Amino acid sequence: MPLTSSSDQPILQIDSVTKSFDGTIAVNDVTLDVVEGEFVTLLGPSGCGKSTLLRMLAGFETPTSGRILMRGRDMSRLPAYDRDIGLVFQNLALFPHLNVYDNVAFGLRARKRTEGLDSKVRDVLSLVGLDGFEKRRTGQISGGQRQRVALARSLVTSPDVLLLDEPLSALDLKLRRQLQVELKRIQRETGITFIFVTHDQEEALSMSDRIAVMQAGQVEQFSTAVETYHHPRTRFVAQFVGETNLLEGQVTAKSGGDVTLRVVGVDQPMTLPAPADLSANTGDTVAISIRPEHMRVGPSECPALTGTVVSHSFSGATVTYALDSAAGPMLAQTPFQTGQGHPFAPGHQVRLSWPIANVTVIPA
Amino acid sequence: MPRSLRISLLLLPSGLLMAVFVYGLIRLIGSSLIVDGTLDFTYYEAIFSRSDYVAMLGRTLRIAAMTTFFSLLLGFPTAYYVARYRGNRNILLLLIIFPWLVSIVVRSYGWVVILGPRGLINGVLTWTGVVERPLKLMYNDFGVILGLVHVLLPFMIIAILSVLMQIPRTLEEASMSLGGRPAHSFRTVLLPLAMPGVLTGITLVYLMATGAIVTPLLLGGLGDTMLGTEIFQEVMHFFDYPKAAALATVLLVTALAVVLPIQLLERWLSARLSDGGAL
Ligand SMILES: Nc1ncnc2c1ncn2[C@@H]1O[C@H](COP(=O)(O)OP(=O)(O)O)[C@@H](O)[C@H]1O
Ligand SMILES: [Mg+2]
Repeated sequence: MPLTSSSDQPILQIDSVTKSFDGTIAVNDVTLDVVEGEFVTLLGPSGCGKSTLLRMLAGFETPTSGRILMRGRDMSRLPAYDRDIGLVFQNLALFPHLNVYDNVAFGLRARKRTEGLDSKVRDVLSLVGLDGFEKRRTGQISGGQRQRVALARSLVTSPDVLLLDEPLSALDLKLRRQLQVELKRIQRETGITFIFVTHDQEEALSMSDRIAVMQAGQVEQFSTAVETYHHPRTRFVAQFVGETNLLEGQVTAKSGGDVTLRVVGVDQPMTLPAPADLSANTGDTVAISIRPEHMRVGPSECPALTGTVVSHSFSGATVTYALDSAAGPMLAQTPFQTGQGHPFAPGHQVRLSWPIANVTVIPA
Repeated sequence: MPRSLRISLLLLPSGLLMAVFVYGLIRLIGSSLIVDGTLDFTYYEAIFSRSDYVAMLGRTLRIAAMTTFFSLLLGFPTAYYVARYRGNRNILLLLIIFPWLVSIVVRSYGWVVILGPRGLINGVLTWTGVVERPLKLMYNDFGVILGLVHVLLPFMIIAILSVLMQIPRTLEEASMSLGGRPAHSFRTVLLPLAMPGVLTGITLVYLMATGAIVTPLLLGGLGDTMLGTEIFQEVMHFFDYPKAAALATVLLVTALAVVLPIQLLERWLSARLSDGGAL
C-alpha cells in the first residue's frame, strides 16, 4: 500500500488545529496529512487530546484555530451530519431501543439511501461476522459482538474516513488481539481510511501504517510504525513506544554527517551518523536511546558500559536483565540458547554493549 | 430483628395510609351509589340529564388536555436544555421547583394581578391606547389554562428531565455522525428514548389538571367552572355529599379512562427499553 509518497493527494488534512476549553488547551497546533486508504493511529497517554482531535474531525467540536480539510475542501465548520466521516465511540453508543439490524440500518435511513438497504445491511453484518444476529437486541449480545455492531453501523454508509476512539480498550486481552486482526482485515477489504485511537503502544505498532504519537495536546512524531519504534525523535516517543534505555551524552565533535558523543559511564566515545534534524552543537547535551533487545551482555570491542545484574527474568527464548550502571538503571533483553548454562545471577558484573547502528540520538 | 420484620415495620405507616385512602375511596363511591341501603343510580342520572353538568365535564377534560399539551410543549425543551446544560445544573433545578415553595393560591392570585381587568397587561395596553377597553384575559378558559400550565409545568419538566438525564449525549452524536439531521435524530433517537418520561409527565399533569380546584376558582369564569371546583362547592357550600361523591366518581372514571392506557403504554415501552441493554 502506498504510504507517504508525495504524489498522493491526502484525503484528510489537519492544518495547525488548536482547541482550547476555557483557557485549557486540549489540542495544540496539530498538523497531520492522512492519505487515502491509510491506517493511522493516534497514540498517547490518557488526557493528551486524542478524543478531542477526533471529535473535531467528526464535527462535534469546532477548532479554536486552524482548519480541517477533506479532499482539499475546508470542513472545519460543517455540522457532523454533513460530513462523510464515521465514528466508533469509546462507549459504542449503540441505540438501545433498536435491534442489531436497525442499528446498522440507521445511517442509510438517516441519509435516505434506502435503495438496496437490506442487502447492504446484511453484507456489512457478514463482513463483521454477525450473520444471524439481525433480530437480537443490543443488550442480549456480548461485548465483542456489541463492538462489531458499532463497527458495522459506521461502515454501512462507506464513509470516506472512519474514526475509532479506543474501540478495544474495554475488552479482555484475548478478544482484543482477535479484534485487532479483524479490524485490519476489514480495513484492507473495504479500503476505508481508518484513524484509530489508542493508548496502547503495542496495539499501535501492530496495526498502523503510520502513528502520530501525542503528548499534552501536541503531535510529537508522525511516522511509520517501524520508523517510530526504531527512530524516535523525542525522549517521550522513545519512552512511550516500547521499552528503552536512555543515556545522557555530550557532543564532542561534529563533522560531515557524523556526530561524536561522550556518554556518561561508557568507556569509549561513539561516532555515529547524526539525524538530519539534530541541532545540537559541540558541547551540547543529548540523549541516546538503545532498545533492550539491542543490548549485548558479555565481552565486546564496542563502546561498553559496566553493569551489575539486579534481577533477570527468563522467558524461554530470551532473558531480560535489569541492571545497575554508572549511566543509571538499564534493561537488556538477550537471546538465550540451550546449553548456555544459566543466566547471569544477580550481583554479577557484566559488560553491556550495543551495535552503533542501533543507537538513536535524541535532542535533550 | 429479622430483616423481613424490619421491612414490614417500615411498611406499616404506608400501609395504614393506603388503607385509609382505599377506605375513603370505597366510601366515596359507595355513598354515591347506595341510597337507603339499595343500589341507586339517581345521582348519576341527575348529573347526566343536566346539560350544564355534561358541558362542565367536557370543559374539564378539554382544559386538562390543553393544559397537558402546553405543558408538554414548554416542558420538553426546558427539560432538554437542563439535561444538556454543561454548567451547574442544580441552580436550574432549583429555579424549576422554586414555585413549589409558594402556595398555589398566591401563585394563582399572582395572575390576577397580571391578567385582571385592571391588571398589569391591561393597564399598559389602555394607557398606551393600544386598546380602548380592557381585554378579557381571565375569568375564562384562557386564564385557567395559563394558570394551570404555570402550576403544573414543573411536574412535566421533572418527569421528562429524569429520563433525559439517563440518555447519554453520545447517542445523539452517534445519530448525527451517521447523517441524522437534528429533526431526524430527535424523532428516531431522543423521542423514543424519552417516551417513558413524556408519558409520566402527561399522566401527572393531566390528572392534576382534571382535579384542579383553586386555579379555576380564582382565574375561571363564574358561569363555566371546572368539575373539581364544582365538587368543592357542593361539599363546602351545599353539603350535598352524595352528589359531590357522584361527581367525583365521574371525574375519577373519566380520568382513569385516559390515564390507564397511557400507563400501559409506558410499562410496555420501559420494558422494551430496559431490554435493549445498558444505555
Ligand atoms: N468538553 C470539555 N471541556 C473541558 N475540557 C475538556 C473537554 N473535553 C476534553 N477536555 C480536556 O481536554 C484534555 C484532553 O482530553 P481528551 O481529548 O479526552 O483526551 P484523551 O482522549 O487523549 O484521553 C483533557 O485535559 C480534558 O480534561
Ligand atoms: Mg479519549
